[in-house]
Formats: sequence, structure tokens, C-alpha cells
Amino acid sequence: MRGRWLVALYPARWRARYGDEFQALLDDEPVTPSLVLDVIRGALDAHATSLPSGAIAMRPRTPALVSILAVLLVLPAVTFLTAAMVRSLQPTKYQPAHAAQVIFDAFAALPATAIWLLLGLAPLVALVLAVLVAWRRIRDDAAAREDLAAFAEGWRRILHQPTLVLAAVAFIASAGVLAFAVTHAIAG
Amino acid sequence: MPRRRDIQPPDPGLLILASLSSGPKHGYAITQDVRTFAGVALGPGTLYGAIARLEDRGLIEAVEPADRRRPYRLTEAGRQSLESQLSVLERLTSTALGRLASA
Repeated sequence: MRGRWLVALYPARWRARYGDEFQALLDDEPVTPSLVLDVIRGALDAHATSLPSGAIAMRPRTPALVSILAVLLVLPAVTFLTAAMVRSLQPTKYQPAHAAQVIFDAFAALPATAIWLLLGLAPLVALVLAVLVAWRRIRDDAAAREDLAAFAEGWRRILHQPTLVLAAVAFIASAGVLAFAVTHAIAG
Repeated sequence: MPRRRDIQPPDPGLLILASLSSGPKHGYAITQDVRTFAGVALGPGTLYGAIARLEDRGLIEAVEPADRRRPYRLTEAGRQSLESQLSVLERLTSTALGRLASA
């Protein structure tokens, strides 16, 4: 086996996933200075990105668990705000507003400390966790940075088309007004 | 005549997707194929860095290996990504060539 030391330059998790096939490829290639430089650059990249994810088993689980925790933390506040909004917009005899009223009353019956925790502290912690996970992912994953840049570029192009923006505003506003009118018509 | 170093080689990810568009291949077969159709020599480090990213983004997937060499194939997302990238390149090429011809 030629160039085993080159495979050893990669992180252990990377070797566990790609080591055998990478070694097989090295066995088929003559070891030249340019190949060594290329492999060293690849190994540095693999260390820097903390990925080579590739295989699901190699993905660090912590960010995924933290993301789920952040969603769970913010869920009560979202539920409460949605209920409050539906309750204020629709007549109470309409079923969704009735459900919203039940949820709203359940929150109102909670002690002040619990409300403060669920609607204040939990969303704040969720926000911090979400920012941390996103920041680490953007820092460590070149593909994520590329995706984010493409996403930003897409929005920049859309926002530079006033016709499209105005059409989107008109669509959202008219759909909202129609939904409100239909809801009241059904309820009334 | 442009010097070789003036011509930027295409993105390794795009080259790998293009290579896999004709069917599953392992790393060595990809390097040989890319060398043939694009004239680009992908080093092992570059190749596997790109393979890891493509796999992470769900654009390619590993096929069960018969030996140490693990073949990869395009996923549906990979096929769409390749088509999308190629159509951009096609527009760019035809526009630039048309302008050069009329200049």
C-alpha cells in the first residue's frame, strides 16, 4: 500500500468513512510531489471543515439536537402568539377561534413565573442556541456558506425587480383579505 | 493562444456530477473519465474533498462497494443541480461566443 501516511493526515472520522477507497485510489496513482500537495491540501480542508460529513453517521449529532431543543423551546410562545392572533381576528363561534380561546385561557391560567419562562426566557434561549448552531455551521461548512451566498444572491436579485416585489405584496395582501372575508362569511 | 495557467479549471464538483451522469463510478474511474472529457487531472485530495461535499449536500450517494472501491451515483437532486448548472453555462457560452462573433 503506497502513501498510507497520506491517508493518516486526514481526521479519524474522515478515514473511517473514506479511508479504504481513498487508499485504493492512492494505490492506483504514482506518488508525485503534486499528488502529495493535493492530498495535504485536502487533509487540511477536511480538518478545517470538521466535516467530511458525507455519511450520516459521521455528522455531529449535537447541532441537530440543539436545533430540535431550540424549536421545542420556542414552540409554546409560537402557539400562544398564534392563538392570540386567531382569537383577535376571528369570531369566537368559528371553530379555530374557539380552539384559540381555549389555548389562550390555558396560558392565562398559568402562574406569572411560568408565563415569563415560556414567553420570555425560552424564546431568548432558543434564539441564542439557533444563532450558535447557524454560526458554527456557516463557519465550518463551505457548502453551507455557498448555499447561504446563493440564497442571499437570489433575494438580492428579487428585490431589484420592483414589479415582482409589488406583485408579491399585492398577492399576499389580497390572499389575506380574501381569507379573512371567507372566514367571516363561513362563520356568519 | 491563452496560456494553460490562464484557464481556470471547472469546479471539481461540477466535473464529478458530469462524470456520474453516465452512470455510477468509483474514485479512480471518475478521475480517468474527467481527464478524458475535460482534460483536468483531479488529485485524490481534491476529488475526495468534492465527493464529501456533494454527498453531504445529497447530490450524490454511495453504492454498495464490491471491493475497496466504492462507486457513487447521482441522486435526483444531483441530476437537477447538474442540469441547472449546465444550462447557465450553456447560456453564458452561447452569449459570449455570439458577442465575439459579432464584434
